[in-house]
Amino acid sequence: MRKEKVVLLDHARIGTILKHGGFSALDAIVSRGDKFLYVSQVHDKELLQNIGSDQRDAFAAWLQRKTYKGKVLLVDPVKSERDKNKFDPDQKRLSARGGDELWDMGARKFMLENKSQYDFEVISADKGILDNKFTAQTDLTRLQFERVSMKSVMTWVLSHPDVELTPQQFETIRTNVLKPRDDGYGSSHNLEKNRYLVPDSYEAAETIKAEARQAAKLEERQKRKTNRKRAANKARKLFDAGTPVIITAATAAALHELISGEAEESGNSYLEAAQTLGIEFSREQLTELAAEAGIDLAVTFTPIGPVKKAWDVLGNVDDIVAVTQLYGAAYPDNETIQQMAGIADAVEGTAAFETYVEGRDALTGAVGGAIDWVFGTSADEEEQARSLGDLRELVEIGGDAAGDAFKAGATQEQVADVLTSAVQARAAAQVTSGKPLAEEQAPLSAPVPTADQLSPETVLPGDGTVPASAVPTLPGAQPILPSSFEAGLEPGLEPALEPGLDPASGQASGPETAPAAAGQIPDRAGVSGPDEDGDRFLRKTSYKTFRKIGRTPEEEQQGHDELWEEFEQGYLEMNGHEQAAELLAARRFSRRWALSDYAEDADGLMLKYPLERVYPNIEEIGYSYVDEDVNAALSHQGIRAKKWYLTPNDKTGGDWEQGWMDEDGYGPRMTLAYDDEAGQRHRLSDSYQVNVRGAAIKLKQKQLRAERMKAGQTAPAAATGPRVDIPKKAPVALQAPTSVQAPVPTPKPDVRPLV
Amino acid sequence: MANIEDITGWREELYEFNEYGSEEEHKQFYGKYNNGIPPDAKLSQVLELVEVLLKHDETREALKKMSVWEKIKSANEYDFLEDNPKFKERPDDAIDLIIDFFDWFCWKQGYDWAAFGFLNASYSTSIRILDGELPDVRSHTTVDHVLERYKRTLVDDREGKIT
Repeated sequence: MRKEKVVLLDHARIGTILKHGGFSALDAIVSRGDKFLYVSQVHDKELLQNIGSDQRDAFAAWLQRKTYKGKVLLVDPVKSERDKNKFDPDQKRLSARGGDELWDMGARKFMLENKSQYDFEVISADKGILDNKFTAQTDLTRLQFERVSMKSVMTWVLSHPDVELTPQQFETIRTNVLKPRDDGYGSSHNLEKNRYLVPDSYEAAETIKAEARQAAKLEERQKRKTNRKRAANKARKLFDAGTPVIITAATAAALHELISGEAEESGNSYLEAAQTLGIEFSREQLTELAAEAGIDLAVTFTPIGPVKKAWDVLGNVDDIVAVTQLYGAAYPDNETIQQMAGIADAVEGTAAFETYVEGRDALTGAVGGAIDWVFGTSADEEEQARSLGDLRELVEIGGDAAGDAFKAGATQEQVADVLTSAVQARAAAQVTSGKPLAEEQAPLSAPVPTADQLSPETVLPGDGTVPASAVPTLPGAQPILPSSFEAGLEPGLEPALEPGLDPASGQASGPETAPAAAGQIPDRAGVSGPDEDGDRFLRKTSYKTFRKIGRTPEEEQQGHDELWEEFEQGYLEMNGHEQAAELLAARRFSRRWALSDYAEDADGLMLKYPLERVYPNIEEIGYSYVDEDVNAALSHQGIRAKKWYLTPNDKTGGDWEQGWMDEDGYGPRMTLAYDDEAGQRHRLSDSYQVNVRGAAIKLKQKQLRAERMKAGQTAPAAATGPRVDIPKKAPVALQAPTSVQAPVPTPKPDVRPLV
Repeated sequence: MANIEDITGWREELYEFNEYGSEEEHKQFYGKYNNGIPPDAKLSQVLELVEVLLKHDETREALKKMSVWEKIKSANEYDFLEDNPKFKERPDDAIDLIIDFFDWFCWKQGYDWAAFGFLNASYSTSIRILDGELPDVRSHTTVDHVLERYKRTLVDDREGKIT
């Protein structure tokens, strides 16, 4: 896949660009890439140094617009001496000739940190940054980037079709471009790939620009024609029997618009234009079809209502995408429709849409739910278009993750809710309440996850920076409960919580209780577990996909009965609110039922009381203590197992209902089985218990050792400060709690929106 | 947040933070919005910063120098490239002071350092008050001016005025 290109424009030149070419020149230059790097404070300084107040204000607004359009990337400025030495290894900042190098350091820092994600184009008049050579040994020399000198980029601006220059501006730029060597815009660089010609005169430049505009226009026309054909092609099947009249009529209206547009642009007749697009309807037929829903083709009609309705009433996801794209092609100037078409494109472009049949409908349905919210809450068309634009970005960025969430069992409503929350938060951030954004923890303050950051398991891993969406997840989406372990650490502090409740809140675990162990797999024999940070390379697996409830028809019936009972109970509690009752039922059901990585033959199987529900997930180590316990037990027995399993049995649930562990600190009884090296399955015990308390104590000891070592290492440095006393008495495991609280429950994470 | 009455030691505090703060602290403060969208500046915070900048001798003196520089910039329609003779008059120390003070102020008060137009609105308003173009920072005239001039990047967060 092509990497996005980031333009790194020397901020010291922004003032000159604005003064000589205005914002249209700046726009053109930053549009040379997909994104533009802004090193905020560096430019603040530049603004104060060299730019007048009017242009400073205008720049702030320009930057804001670009940022909202997703064009701007930020990097934090280099502040400490250590970092300055790293990013300015030759200490040019201290030399008489050098500047403060703030932008150079920020640009290098950004490139070094993001070299795997982006390509770079550095635009500068400073030979030093373009040379990228250092006398000191540094990784910076290996940075790859395209070089563009200020002289070249301003030459390019002279004949750029989108840059409107007055004759005076043209002459100023041209004069500076033609100045020799270091005068004017400086020299060109010997490693530059492109050379641009300097137009002889303003008129010559205007001619070049006109030709370029004409070529762009033709290309745009051709693109529109292709879009029309494609949309018409897809739209034809909407006339099949069964399509609601309102959609057929609106489709007819859009087709009419397409044909009219094609006829106008090509100069052909209506009939010829229709044939070009492969549309077999005549004007009369389309008029009749439209009239069935009261739409008069003779009257200007922009069917935003029907296109929105398509998301509600069309059952087939391909139809929804087709009809929306049709509108997009038919109404190129309507921003709301363009955003809707963009959303359809984004949905169609997700991996989930391409490969996962159920995901297609679910994703489209979820997006439709979010669209409903936008239409229901937007005050005007402008707000509507903006919110739809936000939604479009969310789908573009997080659509694949949403698809994965569906695969993991999340419901359409839940993903719709996440999308809606994210759009809502973006809107809120634009309107901004009185509270600092950080206090609100709005999603915009959360880092936008890149594709590689999104978990293959779920879109809902909490990082504590985004608001919870308080919507529970069906079992399977979040298969692992958070730990309820703290209370079990010390003798006499047995867990007082009801099993299934989140120990942090005492509330039932829901979707916001993201799978703390997601991404972890049991360290069974022959299978390496993840590292402490989770396995980044763990592939997306269909094993996480819910397929069936229970191992037997009886268990399946039991699962359905329990879910129904929960729903009935929830229905009463929610005063007859069906959707709320469904969500409540799902939440309660998921306290006991889940997919399991540990059970026998459990791929896609929803089990009651699987290990992940009845054993605590301990912070930092997840379920690795289970793996260690079982591996040690098998090893002790002299068993060489290829794989092993812990499967719930009829004792498991009863044990768990009494508590997370028995008086001796052992968890609920489960069936331990293993496959030998020949693949033969053996059942070892129906009463296998993992030592939970032992694992906790071991972890605590480890942490205390680490703490002690750390204190020991820092002690000499702290000689002048407060003395650090290292406890030396008593076995550490029996000491009173110290600042090291180990282990503690996994913090309750929030639902992360798709951005 | 309480107004800042005493700015003694601000440079040392900022230096301490920049040099010895953890990478995480730096990211949280300077890089908080690296992957997102910074919020707009807030009226209350802009007014507070203006007040603080004008109140303390050290920052006020720096603003005075910059006020002179602003006039030179306005009177000259040329680039301030390094070969320009006027370039020598640029009060780099004062500019650095204001930039650094802004860092410290945001850090001290827990405000969003990266908020759109925060420094620009505060700095420009301070200069106008200093030059007598605007009355006291809390006057209706000044507040209205700030709201109007920076409406694209500013949120009116006064009580009952959240827009």
